[in-house]
Amino acid sequence: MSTVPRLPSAVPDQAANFGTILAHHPELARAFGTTYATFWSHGVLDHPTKEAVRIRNARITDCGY
Amino acid sequence: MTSWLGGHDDEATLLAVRTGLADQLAQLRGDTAQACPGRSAALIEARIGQMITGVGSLAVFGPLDAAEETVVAVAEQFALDVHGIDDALMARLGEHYAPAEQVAIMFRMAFADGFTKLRRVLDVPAAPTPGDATTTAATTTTTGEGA
Repeated sequence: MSTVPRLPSAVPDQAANFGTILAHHPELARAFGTTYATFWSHGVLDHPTKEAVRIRNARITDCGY
Repeated sequence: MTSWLGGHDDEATLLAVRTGLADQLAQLRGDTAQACPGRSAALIEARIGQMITGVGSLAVFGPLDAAEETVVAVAEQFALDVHGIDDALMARLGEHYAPAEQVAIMFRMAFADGFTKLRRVLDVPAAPTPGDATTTAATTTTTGEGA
């Protein structure tokens, strides 16, 4: 997997990363942030379980986050 | 069709178990579909759905232009093995679509891939999402602009 972002940053003077690339589409970035926050802050699964899934998924997909 | 997971009839009733999250997801998925240029949202949903479920065809779309063929190529690799999406393939996508359009297209692929697999694992059919262009966009034209 590429270690260099394949899209430019949409934020002047800030490096390209997941957030600054999503900023090309501010509406989607906001909606995604809201949904992601709800996912992590609410629900029936405890945080250790969610984090274990996240880490395993990130390892398999080579996600750097 | 009834899922083994609590007897839900479709994806919408299953997701409704998590009311707040389901509403936000539906809105985000609808916004993503509308943000995708031309027929790309429908093409992505159709091709990834076909690959994961074995059902469907791109024949209803008729001839694809070069931009649409690139979207399909990226979607196929996204579903098969995302590691295979290389610099050359993303460069091809960038020849046809601006960064904001590429963001929307990749969001669409993520949702199509994730939710199609979720439906398959939980054995529930799809439910229409707000703004989903899957059933209508096959007859519209591509409006995507190059980067």
